Amino acid sequence: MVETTNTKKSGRKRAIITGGVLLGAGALVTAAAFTDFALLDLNGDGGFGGVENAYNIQVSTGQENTVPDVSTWVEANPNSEAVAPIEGADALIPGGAPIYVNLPVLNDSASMASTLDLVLHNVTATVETPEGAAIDIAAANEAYAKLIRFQVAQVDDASTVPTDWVTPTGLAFDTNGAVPSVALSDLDPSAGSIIVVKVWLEEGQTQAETNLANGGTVQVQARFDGESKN
Amino acid sequence: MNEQPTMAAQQQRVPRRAWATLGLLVGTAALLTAATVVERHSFDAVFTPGAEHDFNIQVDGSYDDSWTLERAQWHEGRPNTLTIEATPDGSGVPLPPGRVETFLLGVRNASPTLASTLTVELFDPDPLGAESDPTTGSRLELFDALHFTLSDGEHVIVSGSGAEALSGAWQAGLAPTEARLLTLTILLPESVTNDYNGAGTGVGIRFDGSSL
Repeated sequence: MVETTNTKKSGRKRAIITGGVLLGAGALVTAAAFTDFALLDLNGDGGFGGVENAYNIQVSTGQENTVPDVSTWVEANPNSEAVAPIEGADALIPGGAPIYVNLPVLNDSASMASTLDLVLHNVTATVETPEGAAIDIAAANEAYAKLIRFQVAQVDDASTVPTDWVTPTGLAFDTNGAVPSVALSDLDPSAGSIIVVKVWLEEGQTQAETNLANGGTVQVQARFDGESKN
Repeated sequence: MNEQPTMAAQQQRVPRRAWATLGLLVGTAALLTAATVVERHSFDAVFTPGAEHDFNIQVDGSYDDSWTLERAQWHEGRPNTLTIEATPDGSGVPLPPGRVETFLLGVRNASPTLASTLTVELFDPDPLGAESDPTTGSRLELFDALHFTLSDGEHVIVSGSGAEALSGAWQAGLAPTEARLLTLTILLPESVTNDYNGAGTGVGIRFDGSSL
């Protein structure tokens, strides 16, 4: 405990001293009381909360393999940040090899642990097929989105392909264009993880269904949600 | 409390001073004229409470939940505010929504003979109102969002939001030399909005006593 001089209180001090004199004089004619006060300050200038204790989640767009590899963390809030280019993303074929995308995420809170959830959204822009085009682009995009699958892993080092996946099977977009939210492990204060997203195209149930995705594309947005832990 | 001479010392000092003054005046008059006898009495009377009548409210407290009044090292808390440290480096106490922080406080009527009334007020030493961070738009002031409860083990003396006036009183006051252990909890409710992320505040406590 430290007693600190509070300059704001100096006026009050004078008032009390003066009051003491007046009370002493008044004691001759009336039964006045003595008064005293005491001031406590909890945790001094540090107080409670503050910017240094703010809760914050950050991500990297660099697809690094480990958290220490990350040179720049970004907020990606409220606007998303592009993770591009992703090697092999333009060459997925139904039933072919998957690609892996590393998404480093950091709990930038110095004092608060964090929950962590991941949702993948289909944010493909609506397009109109030009007259005379060889394929119906909107239909191709829709077919492509039906074939795409995702698996998610949370690792410290993504230099090798993960063996343990948070999602045991491939996740598909639902009718609202989102995969079910994936609950990831909590992050300690100032700690991060590499979230690996495995992406592949399944074959359609018919060749026609598969062929419909030819020429299609899908834009995927990964959204991390965290909550400070008490 | 400023240290004051005892009543006994005052009683001895006043007559001595009075007689010395009288002697000087009489001597001076004797030099001016021998025909006139001048006699004048002058007293400097100082009224101060003796040590046995000192009126004094003292405080102490701790962030340690095992703290007791027996461990108190009583402080005046005036004019120097007593700081109860909670973090080793002086940084802010983290307050995620839902967390309760607890402080143990002691208040004592150090007067040996005078009983005291006792009131308490919780306040924000540096209120920032509705100011917000120009970059994030988040609020800077946290005090209004906090919920405080101050109890003495038997009664809840203060309970409410920082947005309200936070004051209370003990009907029984404090007997001479009586000390009381108080528990102050500070909660940031789960219902707080994200607007308060990064907001901060100080918390001040003022005890007032008046002799009975």
